[in-house]
Amino acid sequence: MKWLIPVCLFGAACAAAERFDERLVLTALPDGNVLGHWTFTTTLGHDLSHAQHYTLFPLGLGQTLNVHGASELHLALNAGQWDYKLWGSPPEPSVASGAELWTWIRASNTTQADERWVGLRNALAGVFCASLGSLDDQRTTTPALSFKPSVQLPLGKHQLRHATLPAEHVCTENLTPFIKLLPCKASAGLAALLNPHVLFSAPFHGLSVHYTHGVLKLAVQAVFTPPRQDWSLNTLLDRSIAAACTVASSSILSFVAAGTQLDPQPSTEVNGALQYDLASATFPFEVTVRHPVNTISSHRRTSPSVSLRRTMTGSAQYAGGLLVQLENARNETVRVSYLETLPWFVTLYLHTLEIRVNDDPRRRIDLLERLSYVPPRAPAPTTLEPILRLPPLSRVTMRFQLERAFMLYTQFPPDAQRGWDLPPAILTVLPASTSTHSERVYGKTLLADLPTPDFSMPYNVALMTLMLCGYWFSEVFRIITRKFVVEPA
Amino acid sequence: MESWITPSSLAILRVLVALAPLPDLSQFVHQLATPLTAFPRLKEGVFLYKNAINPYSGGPFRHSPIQLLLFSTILPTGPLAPLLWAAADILGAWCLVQIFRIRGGSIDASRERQIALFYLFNPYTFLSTTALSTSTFDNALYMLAVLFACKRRPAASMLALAVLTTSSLTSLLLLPPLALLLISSPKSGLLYPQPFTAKLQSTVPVVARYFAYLVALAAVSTLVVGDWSWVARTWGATLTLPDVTPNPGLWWYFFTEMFDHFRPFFLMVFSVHLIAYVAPICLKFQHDPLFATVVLQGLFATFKAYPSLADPGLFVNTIAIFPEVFPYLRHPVVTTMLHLYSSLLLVLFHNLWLVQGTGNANFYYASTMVFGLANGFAVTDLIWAGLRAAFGRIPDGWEVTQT
Repeated sequence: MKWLIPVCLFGAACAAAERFDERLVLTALPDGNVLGHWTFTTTLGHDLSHAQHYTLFPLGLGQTLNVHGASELHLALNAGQWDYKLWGSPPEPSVASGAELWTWIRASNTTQADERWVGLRNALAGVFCASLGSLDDQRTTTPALSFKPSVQLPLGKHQLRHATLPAEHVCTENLTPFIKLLPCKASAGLAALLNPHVLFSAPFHGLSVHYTHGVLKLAVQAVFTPPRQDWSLNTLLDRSIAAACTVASSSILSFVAAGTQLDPQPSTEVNGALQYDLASATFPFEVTVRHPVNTISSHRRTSPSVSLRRTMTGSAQYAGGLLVQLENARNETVRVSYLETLPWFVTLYLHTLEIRVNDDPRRRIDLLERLSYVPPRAPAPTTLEPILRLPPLSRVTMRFQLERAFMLYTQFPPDAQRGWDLPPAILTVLPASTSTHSERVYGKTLLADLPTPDFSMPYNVALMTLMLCGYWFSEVFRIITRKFVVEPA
Repeated sequence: MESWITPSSLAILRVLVALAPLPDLSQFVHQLATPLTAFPRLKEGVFLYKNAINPYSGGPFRHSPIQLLLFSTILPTGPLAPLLWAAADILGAWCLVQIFRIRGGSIDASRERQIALFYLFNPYTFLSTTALSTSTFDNALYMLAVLFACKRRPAASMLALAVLTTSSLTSLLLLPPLALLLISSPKSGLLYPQPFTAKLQSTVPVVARYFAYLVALAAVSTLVVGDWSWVARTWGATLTLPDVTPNPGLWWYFFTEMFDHFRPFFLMVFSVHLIAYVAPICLKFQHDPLFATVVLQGLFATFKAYPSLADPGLFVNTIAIFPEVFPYLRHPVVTTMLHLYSSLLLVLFHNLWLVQGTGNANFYYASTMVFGLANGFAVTDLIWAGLRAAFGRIPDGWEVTQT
């Protein structure tokens, strides 16, 4: 039994290396809303492929990621429209409405990567109760430039898979398994403040899961509307913290709103943010925010330097145009990578691309540095990734002609007249040097109205067409096979 | 007054019309062009090819690699394109006039004038050419193949037919009547039918020549593209109908509404339906293979996978070389009226469905049914007239019927 001792020591060492940190940042936004950003970070200390004896790391998720070879995974489930101008850059960059999943899968070839991708998204669908299994061939792309790994990937060949599902809703059935991945669940610590009623009626709310090389970060970001100018945790979120999470190495509540009065007094102030350390707080924990008379204090977060607007033009159902407007607010040239993943039934005509700056009627194809294009091949989507150089303080307009396909009866969903969601365009501001991070800006999802056949008519159509063909077939053969006679009229 | 209207002056007029600024015909795109022939798709394919992306790896391009090769190197897709299309139309008209002369044996100036006028200004083919649909080249190649067959030049005829087959797979079925035409005579045999005397073995070198040309063109296509992806995207489109874009034909809505389980079966049925016409028509009209060719082309125009208005337009143009059957057509006025009616309905209902949104797909489908009826009337009436012509004038009080 002596061999048990090193094993136990090793296990204890592994367990000792695990660390759980939680943090909540509440920011008063200029339009009176409050941005809440929860982050729950579990650090493993080693790679997932080592012994799977976890204490704080969620076992189900760890096993899923290990079996399917996901070295880096990012999942976001959002609802609402993030306002970049008023609310600035989001703390979690993936703010696409619906579900977005991208991952770097360790695989030796494309077939293995596809198999692991299928297994991974179905397993995640089970873990998070979201229909991630629908992120199938119709929605999966491999962008070449926009989703580089955020940390160095482990050894081995990796392939990227990215998919979005704009029509996915996020609700309590996603939040409950999400909270189950946390060590303290919703009974202690900052996760106790996650009230589904308040969270899912917020103008913007989103859950995200990030796994990068041994670090799992679960985040919730939401923009709440406080009922009154002076609010507290109880009036804003309808919850209070009953106890601290004892396994958390750090548990910090931060307020970013200069000039407000907080009660009780915060313990520290870091970079203009007033912080409370829950390890040394009294419970039940409650904070009240009061604005001084006749003032509203807020914090203006920095907006991304480039903004994106995308619309479909044209009134005919079978053809139209795509208009993309990129505005560069910086006083220098910015290189951006614009990712467009249109489903197969929307065909872009690349030869009709026109790029213009501000109101200048000249075509500026020189602003296009590089174009990466994977044409659509049903069911695979289009992947269009131009790299553009935006002049300082300018508005660059890209125009394409497009055609909408006619689909078969069996390819339409039950609510065919609703239209089809086009995934949001993703703009990545490419960093000028390797040290700065690249910033991602998401556009809105568009609704493409495709021409529909009449769904009540399959038998009628078969009948009438075959009748016409059969009638002329018989007519031709009647004339050429029968004998001619000359008879009295 | 009519002396200035010669085929040459009509050709010049046609070129002038091609150069004139015409209104935007893009709203008629589904009538005038198909996914296999549309000009924006050709431009897209050429653009992708020039930028080192395989145009057959996806996207809207379904033209043949031969067209890709020609349009990315020597042929224009810019402002000079309408001239090229007008030249193809003029070539087709010239071929038709030559065929008429060979068939008739003498020069009939007024008829030739009419033939050239109808070919160059028939709205079906004229508008297709103005919309820059590559069916103009298909029609011109068909006319060249038939002309060389009438002139007893098997090499040229089979080469034209092989090039035509690379862009339109249905033309493969025109091989039997053209082979028969090559070994017999283009002269009119309708009025005084003679039994078929040429030996059928002499078609073997003709057929072999055709397939040799076709294989060579397929090899060139594979060299141009780099792999075999073009086969599934071009010829495969005619057989499997991956793109159900509306057109004046009968296949698209049928296969839109078809359940997946029955799709392969009915694709086979519709293709075999076309093949089934070849042998009986060739056998019945063995005394006049040129007539059999035109009748078969008319049947294919009605029932092929991706027809546009240019295909029945070609049929209507080519029946002008059979003036001997015109007195025996039973209902030419009905056919003409049906064509007029359905061509207007096609445009109207297409607009109501796809542009205004007040109609639905059934409206357009109904107009394609009427168009199919009009084409069927035209072909069957021609077949009847071709057989009836052998009886000539019948004294009053008697009539020719079928038992």
